[in-house]
Amino acid sequence: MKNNTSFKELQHKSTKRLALWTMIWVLSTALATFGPEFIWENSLFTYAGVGLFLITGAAMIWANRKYLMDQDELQRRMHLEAMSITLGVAVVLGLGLSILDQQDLLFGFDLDFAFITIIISVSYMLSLLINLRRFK
Amino acid sequence: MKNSIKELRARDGFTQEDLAHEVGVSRQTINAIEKGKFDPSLPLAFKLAHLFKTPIEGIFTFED
Repeated sequence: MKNNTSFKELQHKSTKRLALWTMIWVLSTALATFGPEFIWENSLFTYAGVGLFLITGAAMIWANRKYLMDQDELQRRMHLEAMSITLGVAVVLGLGLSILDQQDLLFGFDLDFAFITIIISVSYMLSLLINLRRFK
Repeated sequence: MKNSIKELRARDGFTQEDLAHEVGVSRQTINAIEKGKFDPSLPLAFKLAHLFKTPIEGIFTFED
């Protein structure tokens, strides 16, 4: 039953894989976003850039799933709780802000999807940090 | 659920890291189980019982 070395190796490999695909996805996002503005003018390249963005995004989702499956049962529980809190926060806060935005009550602030992405990221990180402390 | 993992670990001379190594989980998980913050799954409980050569009920005690 001496399998923790492989467990640690597995975790290390999964973390590296996820970091790599996240980095590639961020680069493809930058290319798809800034390419049409600074690098090319042909819209075909923009379609290709968005295609690359979708493909690398799918690879990142797969790497994230693999990362989660390679965690042990307590770590999976911590991630699951963080995900459930994040889903709730994103839906409730996102809808609340959307209602205010429709009525132009956001004090001139224009609601953007990037803002929801930031809420999701912060909520997930905070939930995970709280759980890490809770089970320390 | 109460458990006697800390005592059994001391009996067999394992550190938390050693025990985590043997059953294939993180040291944090072993620590959380010892402190009663987390109840392990049945497969993990069986692994621990097998390692300590003790029946599961010799390690874990159910409390209402």
